[in-house]
Formats: sequence, structure tokens, C-alpha cells
Amino acid sequence: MNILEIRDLDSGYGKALILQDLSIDVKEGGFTAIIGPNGAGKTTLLRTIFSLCDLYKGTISFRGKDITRIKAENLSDIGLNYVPQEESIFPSLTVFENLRMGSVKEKSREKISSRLERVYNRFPVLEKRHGQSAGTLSGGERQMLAVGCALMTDPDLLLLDEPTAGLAPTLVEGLFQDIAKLNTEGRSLLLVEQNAKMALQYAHEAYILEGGRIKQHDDAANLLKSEEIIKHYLSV
Amino acid sequence: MNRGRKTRPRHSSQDGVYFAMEDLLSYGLLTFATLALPSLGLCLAIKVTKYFNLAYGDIVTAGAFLALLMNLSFKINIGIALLISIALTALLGVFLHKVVFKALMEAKVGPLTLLVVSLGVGLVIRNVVLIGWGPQPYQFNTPLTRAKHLGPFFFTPNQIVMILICILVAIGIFLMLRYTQLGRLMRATSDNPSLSLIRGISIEKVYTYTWIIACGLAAIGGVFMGMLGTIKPGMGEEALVTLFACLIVGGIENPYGAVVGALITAFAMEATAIWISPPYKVVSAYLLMFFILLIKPSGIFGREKIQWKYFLGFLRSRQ
Amino acid sequence: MEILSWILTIATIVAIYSIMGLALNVHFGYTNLPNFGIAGFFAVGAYASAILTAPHRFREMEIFAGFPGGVAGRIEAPFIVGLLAAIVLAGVVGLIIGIPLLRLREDYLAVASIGIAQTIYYVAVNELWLTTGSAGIRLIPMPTGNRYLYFLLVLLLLAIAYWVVNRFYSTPIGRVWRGVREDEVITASLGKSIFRSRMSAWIAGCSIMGAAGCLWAHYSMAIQPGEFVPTTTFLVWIFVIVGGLRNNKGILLGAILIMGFFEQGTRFLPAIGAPYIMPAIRLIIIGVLLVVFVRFRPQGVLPERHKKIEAHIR
Ligand SMILES: Nc1ncnc2c1ncn2[C@@H]1O[C@H](COP(=O)(O)OP(=O)(O)OP(=O)(O)O)[C@@H](O)[C@H]1O
Ligand SMILES: [Mg+2]
Repeated sequence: MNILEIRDLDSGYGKALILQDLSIDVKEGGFTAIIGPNGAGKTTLLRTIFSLCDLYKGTISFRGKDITRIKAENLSDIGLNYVPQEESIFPSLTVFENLRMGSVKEKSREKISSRLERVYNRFPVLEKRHGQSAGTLSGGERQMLAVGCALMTDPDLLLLDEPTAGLAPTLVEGLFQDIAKLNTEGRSLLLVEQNAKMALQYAHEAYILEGGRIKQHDDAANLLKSEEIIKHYLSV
Repeated sequence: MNRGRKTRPRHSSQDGVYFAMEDLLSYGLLTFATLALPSLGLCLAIKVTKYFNLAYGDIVTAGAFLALLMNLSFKINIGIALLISIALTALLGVFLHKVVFKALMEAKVGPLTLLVVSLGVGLVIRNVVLIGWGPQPYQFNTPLTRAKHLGPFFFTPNQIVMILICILVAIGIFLMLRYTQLGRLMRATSDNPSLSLIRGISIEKVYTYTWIIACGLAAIGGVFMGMLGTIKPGMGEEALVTLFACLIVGGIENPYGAVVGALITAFAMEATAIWISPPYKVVSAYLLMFFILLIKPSGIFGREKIQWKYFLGFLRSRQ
Repeated sequence: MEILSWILTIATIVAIYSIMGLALNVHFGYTNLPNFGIAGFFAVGAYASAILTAPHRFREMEIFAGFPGGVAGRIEAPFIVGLLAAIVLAGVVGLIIGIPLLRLREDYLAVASIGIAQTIYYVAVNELWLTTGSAGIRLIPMPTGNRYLYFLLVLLLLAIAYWVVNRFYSTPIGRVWRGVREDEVITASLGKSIFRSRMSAWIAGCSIMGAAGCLWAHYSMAIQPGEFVPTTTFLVWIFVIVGGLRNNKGILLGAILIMGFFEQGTRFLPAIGAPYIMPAIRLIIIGVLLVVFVRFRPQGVLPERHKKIEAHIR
């Protein structure tokens, strides 16, 4: 059973067609990674899923329901959330306010405070800094805050765009473990990563995107062994 | 913004400097009361919607004339007329946003295009007012009151109420921005509209609320300007660049800066009127604006250092 | 005969405004400098020429009427001196103003330039010794002595302005200007000083606006500060946008459509009610037209040649 199905997608920005004939699936409870070089269109793909790009052709269905017509601001209601690559927090709001913005539409106070507590348990450093303005956080803290904000709606499918970009290697490991934990708790994940090795180690399956098209799709374990992949993406 | 200087007795035989200072304090504070709220409103509008709406001056005019309509034509007390005008002007702002600006913003046109369009909108408002009321100046029908000394100040009771309203409303807006959900939404949308969408914020609603607040503040400003001077179709257009001067002095997207900028600009204007030449007081606000743009474009509270080099060595600098 | 004189009036005004439109194209179309202070440079040119060329008789009349009598009418220079002074002075004012302004982001520049024009307006109203204040300067001579010949003179200058502005488009400096508009970083990395090339475009445009101001002063033969209000600026912007931003032919077309038909053509219709009503209705129509054009046809009637226009205005 697939939680997200993308079929024959063409999308881009205005007149610039970036993605062509893309089909991608994310299994219910699955952990799918997308890897590819800079400018391959990975961010564009996630933005298209979140109705932030122009879609020319194709369908995107979430739990069997077409979501191409749903506005970005309403997607978090149906159990989808997105951690963008850059500017993933509001710098002039405090950490607490950022998290509060994460569940802006939630009416029940109990739900908000229990989710807040869960995020604070997962990332204790955020609790320590909860009154601090988010613009002054370190890079790692920002990424945790960004993931934390996305968790405030308790999403079933989480789109993550290079959450570990710019982090120290030790932190990358830690954040990956946190992300993997989200998956073991039952959330489906679609992760875009530059760090192909890590991504393939943690993910179940992976797509390789190049020049706006899918180049390869396989189980992560197989890709990790594939010669070509090692040559292109894993040799550092 | 020619306030009624006639309310004030002239002390010719006494110490001129002392009274000049007294004049400066009183008129400075009154000018501040007319500028602070519209500049705060314009600041919020720019902060959230990210473009310069040059129709704002004419919205100020509309606020004054709507109050005038209530006050003179329907014989309503000026206080209640003010409240009605706030509501109607807010409605006007929402109407303009929905009919004109919303579609353009959704089409992702740049801030300059919106600015040009807002000029057209301002032209329409100004001339509708002109057709309705004609070019002659009007005054509100307010109960006559006598000015009194209050320490170093010299105010009529109406003017004291105006200054109090101005300060209280400004504080109210600051508290709203800091502590309420709407304030958080406005700050979030200002920071990053597309992330706001991702978070599930309906930014269209935030824009609408922002316009309600901004236009409500414009109405108060317009009525205050009318209380201190006269009401005519060009009043808002005249005030617009002064409002921008207030904003630029304080830092264009900083609400506290907008109010402090209004205070500085108001005193600069009144000082010019007292010591240099009354007709040039508006020009002094513009000059202040250019000066700040030259040395510290992000305003007095901005992070960057003062760039004296632009001021002193501009002929040699290359970029 | 009356019809002919009416057409002549409109044609002359359209031609003068077209010159301003071309200058705005140098500022905004070529270099992306949104000048909203056109009225200010127009005023500088008009006053420079008017003050220099006003006859001694004007000053004598002022003194006779009990005014102190200012600079205007002291010199009584010929028209050509007035025109050159208008061009040079508008350029110099542009240079001085450009130093703080041209560093600004475009929307700041727009607002600040409105402030400049307002400052010039206040000077025109208040410096009686220089401008005779709101009464304005009268008796400015029309150089050819005849409105038909004067129209030909205006046409000649329009042709020159058109040629110059068109030349700018294809000369190296014009290419640098457009380069700055397209991509500041690349142009800078080619070793071009962005500030200098912007400044040269800015001064060129300001000077052309000054020339238009001079032509206006000698055509209407009397000027007042009230003619140099922001509405003048907005009219230029509006016909440039309607006609076609960045296309010189479009600008001429826009000037004919907006200034000719709406602004001037309807001026001679019978007034409804009070005298201010018709002008107000005209301006309302023009404002609505602007909004509609930007919304539905941002490239104007005639778009820029082989260029993606939306990319610039949007
Ligand atoms: N707003 C935009 N308008 C036009 N083209 C864009 C826009 N944003 C991105 N592109 C182009 O789309 C292509 C794909 O960009 P995208 O951001 O999706 O790459 P990416 O795979 O996420 O790269 P990276 O690994 O560097 O983040 C790039 O060629 C980029 O130049
Ligand atoms: Mg990316």
C-alpha cells in the first residue's frame, strides 16, 4: 500500500520545465530517499508535492486521494508536512513561537501541549532555548527546530529536504538516528539527501534523480552495493 | 498638517527661547500624535505584504473624510465618528486588497509593480474624494475648548485625548504583535510567506487582517490630522512621503522604529518650523529621510554601522 | 480654425510629454531606476529657462505691483540659452540627488524620488526671490513667436530626443545599462562600475526631462508651482506603462492615447457641474486604466523588442 503516489509528473517554475515524466511511490510506513546531484530537481519535486510549484501534467495522490488541487496551506491538515531545505524556520520568532506556528490550525490545547512535550523530549536542546529568537540558533539547532515544527501537526508523511546540510559529521549521525526513529514510530518519510551514503544506510528504498528525470530506483541496500552508485555518489 | 496655532497665546515680551522650547514640545508632541499611528500602520502593511503601498496616504484622506461625513453631514459626535470611520476605512482597505492587490500578489508580480498599481489606486481614491467634497478645506465640528498649561506643555483637552489615544493604541498594537496569535501570524508571514503556507497559515487571511489594522490606524491618523488642521483631498498625498520618512528613520519594517521615527520626524519638523521657516517643515522630514538613507539605510535601529564613507567619500567610492 | 488650434494644442502637449516618457524609458526601461520625481526635473528645467528668459518687463511689472522683484527678468536671455541651462541644471540636480538615491533598492528609490520632487515643489512655492512663489512666472517668450512654428520646434526636439534615446539603446553604454538592469553581478564582474553607469543613465534622463520642462515653459508662457505636482509624474508613468514600457514607439503611442485622448482631448468637453469634476473623472479613468493594464497586459500595447518583458516588470 502506497501512502504517496506520483505519476507522470511534469513540473517547474513558470515557463521553466524542471521535472519530466516522474513517477515515485512512498510505501505506507516506508522510508524513501531521493539522491542526486545539485540542480537535479530534488527540491523542486518536494515543492511540487506541496503545491508550491507549477504542475503541468501528472497526478500526485496521497492515500489514494488526488492532492494536486489542494492549496499548500491546507496540506498539513490531511497528514502531510514538509521541512524545506533553506529558511525552514521563522528567524524573528522565538523557538516556542516557531513550534506554536507548527500547529497553527490545531484547536485543542491538550493536543498542542502534548505534541510540544514530545518535541521537547525528542530534542531537549529546544526546550532549553524555548524563549530564544530562532534566528540566533546554531545550524544544528535550527534543523532540529525545523523538524520539530513539522512534527507539531503529527504528520503521517514527512518530506525532508536535506535536513543535515551544513551539520558536523557527529550531528549528522545523530539527526539521522532521530529521523530513523520517526520512521520506526510509524511515520512515512520522503528524504532528499546529498549525503548519499548515510541516506542509503537508513532508508529502505531510494530514487536517483538527475536532470529532472528518475535515473534509477531500487532498494537502498542494492544501491549501496551498485558499482555505478559507488563511483558517482559514494566516493568521497 | 497645519495645526491651529491660534489656540496658543503669543508671549512677545517674555523670554523667547523658553517659549520656543515650549512650542517645540507641544507642537512636536501633537505632530507626533498625527504621524505615529499611520506610520505604524504603513509599517505593518509593508512588513507583512512586502511592497510599498502608495495609496496609503489617500486611505488616510479617506479616513478623515469618512469621519467628516459622519461628523458634519450626520451630526455625529467626533469620537463616535472616529470609530465609524475606522470601521469603514478598514472595510475600504480590505476591499482594495481583495479587488486589486490580491490577484497581483498571487501572480507573483514584483514589489515595484504593486507600487505602481497602488499609485493608480491612490489617484482614484483622491479624485473620488475630490468629486464628493470639492477642493476646499473643511474642519470638524468639535466642541470649543480652551488650551491649558500642563507643566511645559500647552494643550486643549481634545489634544490631550488625542495624544493619549495615540500612545495607548500604539502600545496596544505592540502588545498585539508580541503576545497574540494574530501578532505571531503577522510576524511569521513577514519573515517567510512560503514557509507560512507550509505551516498551514492562510497568508491571505493574515494580509486581510493586516490591512484592517493598517487602514484603521490610517483613519485615526487622518482624523487627528483633520482635528489639528484642515481636511482636504490632497492631505494624505502630502502626508505620504512624511510617513515614509518616519519609517525610514526608524527602519522600514520595525514597528517600534516606526513610532520612534515618527517622534524624531515630528520634532525635526517642528524645530524647522520654529527656527528656520514654517513652509519648509515638510522638507525637513524629507531631508532627514535622505540623510538616513545615505548613512544608514536600515534606519537608526538597523544592525549595520553608520556608513560615513558614503557621506564623505562618495565621489571616490566605486560601487 | 478653432479645431485646428485645438489639435495643435493637444499635439504640442503630447509631444512635450512624449519627451518625458522617453526620458523615463532611459531611467526605468533601460536601467531599472524607477524615477517618481519626474515633476521635479520637469520643474527645474521649466524654471531655469523661465527665470533666464523672462523679459525685463515681467520684473518691472512685479515691482510695479509692489513685489520685491526677483531674479526672473533680470537677464532676458535668448531661448537657446534657456534650453541649454535647463538641460545642464536638470542634469546637475540629477547628479546631486543621484548620489544618495542610486544606491537604494528600487522601491526605496521610488519613494525617495517622490520626496525630491516635493522638495523642489516647496522650493518653487516658497523661494519668492527665485521663482516668484505660487503666482509663478509670466510673460515667458515663445521663441518662434508663432504656435505653428513652435510646434515644429517641439517636434524637432522630440525627434532629436527619440534619436538620442534610441541610440543609447544600441551604443556600448546602453548595453551596459541594460546589463545592469538584467544582472548587476555579471555586469560588475565585467569591470563596469554599476554606480557610474547608473549615474550616467540617470543624468541623461534628468537632462531630457529638463529640456521638456523648458519646452513646456515656453509653450504655456506662464508657469506656476501647481503644474509640477506628483500627478504630472504619475501621468507620465501611466502612459509609459500603457503604451509599452521599454519600447520607444510604444511610449509615443501611449502619450497619444493617454495624454492626447483622455487628458487633453476631453479637456474641451463642456464641464459638468463644478470645474474640478471633469479633471477628476479623467484622473479616475486613468487610474483604473493603469490598474487594468498592469493586471492584464503588463507589457503595454507595444512590448519591448525580442525581450521577455514579464521578467522585467514582474
Ligand atoms: N524559482 C525558480 N525559478 C526557475 N528555476 C528554478 C527556480 N528554482 C530552482 N530552479 C531551477 O530548477 C533546477 C532544479 O533546482 P532544485 O532546487 O530542485 O535542485 P536540487 O536538486 O534541490 O539541488 P540542490 O541539491 O542544490 O538543493 C535548477 O536548475 C534551478 O536552477
Ligand atoms: Mg535542493
